[in-house]
Amino acid sequence: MSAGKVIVLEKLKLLSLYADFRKDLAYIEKELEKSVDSSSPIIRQASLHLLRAGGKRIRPIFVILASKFGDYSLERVSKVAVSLELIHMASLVHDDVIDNSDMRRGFETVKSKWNNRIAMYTGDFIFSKALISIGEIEHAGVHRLLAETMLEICKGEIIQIDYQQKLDQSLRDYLRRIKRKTALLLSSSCELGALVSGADSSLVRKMRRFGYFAGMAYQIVDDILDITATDEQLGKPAGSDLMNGHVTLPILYIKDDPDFKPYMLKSFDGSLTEKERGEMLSYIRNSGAIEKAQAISDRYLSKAVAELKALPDGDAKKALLQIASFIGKRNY
Amino acid sequence: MERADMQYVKEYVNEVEQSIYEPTVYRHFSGTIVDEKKAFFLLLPLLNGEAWSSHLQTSAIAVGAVHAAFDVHDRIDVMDATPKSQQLLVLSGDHFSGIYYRLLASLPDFPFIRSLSGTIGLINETKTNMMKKPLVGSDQVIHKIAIIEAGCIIDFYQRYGFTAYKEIVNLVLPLVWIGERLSGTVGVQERVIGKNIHETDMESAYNDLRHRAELALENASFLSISLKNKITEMIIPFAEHADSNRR
Repeated sequence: MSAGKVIVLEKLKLLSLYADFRKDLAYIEKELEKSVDSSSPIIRQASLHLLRAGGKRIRPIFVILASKFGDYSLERVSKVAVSLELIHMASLVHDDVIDNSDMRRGFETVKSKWNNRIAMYTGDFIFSKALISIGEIEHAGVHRLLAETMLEICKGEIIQIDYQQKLDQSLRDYLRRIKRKTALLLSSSCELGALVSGADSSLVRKMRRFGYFAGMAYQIVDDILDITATDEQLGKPAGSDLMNGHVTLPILYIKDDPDFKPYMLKSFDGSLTEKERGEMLSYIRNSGAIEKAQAISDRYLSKAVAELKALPDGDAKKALLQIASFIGKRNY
Repeated sequence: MERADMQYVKEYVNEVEQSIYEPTVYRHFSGTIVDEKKAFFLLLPLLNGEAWSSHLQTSAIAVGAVHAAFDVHDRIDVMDATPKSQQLLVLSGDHFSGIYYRLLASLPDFPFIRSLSGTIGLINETKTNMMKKPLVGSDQVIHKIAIIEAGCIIDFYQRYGFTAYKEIVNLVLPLVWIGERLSGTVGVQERVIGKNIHETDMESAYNDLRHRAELALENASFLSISLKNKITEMIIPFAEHADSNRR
């Protein structure tokens, strides 16, 4: 099956998981588009381009599902969901400047289409719209949580830069890094969804922990896909993480292999040829590192599922369980 | 009580720098982050003896963090941000934005979170437009530069009832910005935003602003003499420069 078909099937699978909440997601999608409307044609074009590139909307769906356990109001939920998705989008635009990436999700990046400075301003614009959206929710706890989350994410990114090409990292360093990079925002998506719906504190805690464990698994799978998926599936060159100096979990397991080291060093200094990139990816795929990384992801997913056990049965719980399963097996 | 003491400004700058401190960023970064001129204008009501609460102080520090975020993102190289110092500038600006949000969330001041965020959005739109489309005529130059330079301070004044100070900051900060560019005292990256402005429009905007700023200062009966003098000092060096250029 072609990579394009795999992606389409995966997207359909994800859409089917969201089926019961399609109307709510469609409303949020419209709110997202409205929120990035701009007097600047470039910013409007860049923001819509990003929105339509089709992310998985995992943050908005987590907000919706977590809110279903409390007093659900689509209007309030959408303010939070829009804000979280915009924060995620803004960080992607700035990440592309940092990583000097030309492609994302198969589309040209803002920094590549225009320039770094326009990408900075677009990211900052999107971020400001995120705060306007969440600013409508006058709940001190919501804002304290989101502000702390944003700062931790940023700290994670700063540490990631500091750790670029560093080979003396431990599993603990890696896990701490991905917690900040990905798991915290997913954890906060669940927690904020529960908070704005007025759910009780024990449920809020369970949602936070579910989001955290699911987020850790999500990032590990992302790091695995960077090696196992094709360029077409990824919408960017496979192995980009390593070429940007990021030591991910599969790389941690193989970094001391003497036959692998030359590839890694060439990735770091930018001298890796296309042929060598292919060889390197196959070498990692056949080394057992992927299976080891997958096992860690599975452990996190089991923990995520365990958090849901005590929750009341219903469509929201069912969807969270299915999304957890999708995270573990996804191909895009 | 008259508090025209620059010590307040220095203490404020220290407070902002402590609030936004991040060890990894500072290890790779040198130079000032908080603009003392903007700090002075932000604190103008305080220096002029207006009532100032801890809520206002926290909000003012938040605005300082926003200014710092803008400042570092304006230093990103247009074409190549791959050096580690540049990558950290990207993230430090994001970190400073997180700090401003955390400060306002701690109060919490929801209306100011909304209005300041709106102003930040507008400033980014204005900068983006200016990079691609030249400004035409001195009126447009004055209007756009005032949004970029004075927008957040105006927002702060509006939120906390210091509207009498709006006119002065709206004139003097763009005047300083244009003066610095006319005299060539800013770095290459900072010049990116103004590169599409024709020099004759800059000079015309400068002269217009200078005239209006002097008039506004003369009419600002609410402002202490020492503060008027201090603001006049900020204008004079560029005024002399502009005069010498004409000679």
